[in-house]
Amino acid sequence: MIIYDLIDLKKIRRALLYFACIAVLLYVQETMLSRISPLGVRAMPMPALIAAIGLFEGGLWGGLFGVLAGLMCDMSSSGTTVLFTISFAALGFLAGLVCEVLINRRFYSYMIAAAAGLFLAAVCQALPVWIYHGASPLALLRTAGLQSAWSLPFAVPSYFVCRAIAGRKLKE
Amino acid sequence: MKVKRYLLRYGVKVAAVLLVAVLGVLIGTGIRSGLAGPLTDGAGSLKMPVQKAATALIDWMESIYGYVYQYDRLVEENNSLRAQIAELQERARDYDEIAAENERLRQLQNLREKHEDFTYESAKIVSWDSSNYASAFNISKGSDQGVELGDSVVTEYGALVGQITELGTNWATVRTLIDVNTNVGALIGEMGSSGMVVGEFSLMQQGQTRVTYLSSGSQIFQGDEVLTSGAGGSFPPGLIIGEISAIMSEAGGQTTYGVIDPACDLSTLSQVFVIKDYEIVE
Repeated sequence: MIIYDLIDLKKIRRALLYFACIAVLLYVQETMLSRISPLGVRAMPMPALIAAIGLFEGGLWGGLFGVLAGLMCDMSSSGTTVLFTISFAALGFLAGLVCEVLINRRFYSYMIAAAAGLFLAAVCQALPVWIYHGASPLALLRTAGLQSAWSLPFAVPSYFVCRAIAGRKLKE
Repeated sequence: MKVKRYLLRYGVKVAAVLLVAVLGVLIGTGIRSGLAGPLTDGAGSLKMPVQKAATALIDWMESIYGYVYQYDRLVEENNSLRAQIAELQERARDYDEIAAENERLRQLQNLREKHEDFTYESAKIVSWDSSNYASAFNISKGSDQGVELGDSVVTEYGALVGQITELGTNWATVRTLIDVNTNVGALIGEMGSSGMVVGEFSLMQQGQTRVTYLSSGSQIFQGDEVLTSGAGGSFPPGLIIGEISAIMSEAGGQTTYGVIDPACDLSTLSQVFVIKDYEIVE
């Protein structure tokens, strides 16, 4: 009974919901969005979801769920080992931090944070190609920009879903 | 007595008229050979519009009846026909898929005859890597089916697709030949000049790759066919990589390289064949 009292069921519920969101988005990203490339690039909206979690839950949760999502992305992606784990953790933490000191939790603030997060993640993906294969930085930046732009529309649902999950906590 | 008198007075007259009438009808019918007499014709003419109206009314009522009472049957029949159409469409789709697979296997048979030493494992492409900085996909076969790391992957025409770079029990990741990490020993054109196919980021985005590190004195031309050399044992020799579509110079202008259009169309690929085993010629 004492142990039961120590468990914060609301927190566990929220954590499970965020985990479900990450799993669903990863599935969509890998199976559907990887087949659609109208701008010549594929969308990768996962960083936006991490930014949203960071925005609503703070840097700690943003970082933790960044690690989780990064691990899952690294496992499903070929050629990366810890790239996503590190970059998403940093992104989630930064989103929480920026929300504390610089921006509010409104939609447009989120979209700016998400756009920055998407671009940062794309640049992190491009870095090894630049370092190890000497690819043209301009071509890489162009790809990173297009990837961020194409991912941005898919970032919109993340804001509303995370706001709904964090809603009760924010009211409290 | 009154009855007898009445019968005699009017009965004979009536009988006479009746007899005349009957005889007249009989005689008239016999002469006109099946055609109605004027009386019959007149009666019929009078009766016709009434009959038509009655028939129209009955037909209308029958149609109402049919609509009301046969509606359910028609709906059921419609649903049944829709189901039949869906089934036929599905069969047509299955047929197309089976025909395409049959064609692929037919081509593979030709390839088998050409490379008798190859052992193939057919695999479906499950998903493509979502990264824009790599070109890779996952297939439905893994170590349980005898697939090994480094195995070459080809199309049914023997065109090189890539190499197994990650392996699970029932899945594997194939890095395609246009990926930036790919290195394949190659022979170019009729002269058989040697070179190395090395992925490049900008070309990868356009679905192309390049052949570079050409042997000294070798010349390459647009349209030259590029094949695997088999050097190093990573890939079997003689697999088609593609065709040189352009000759370019490196930034310094000292060395040239050829841009390759791969023989396999990666964007339409759905099934591939893993070469599990082949004879290494020393």
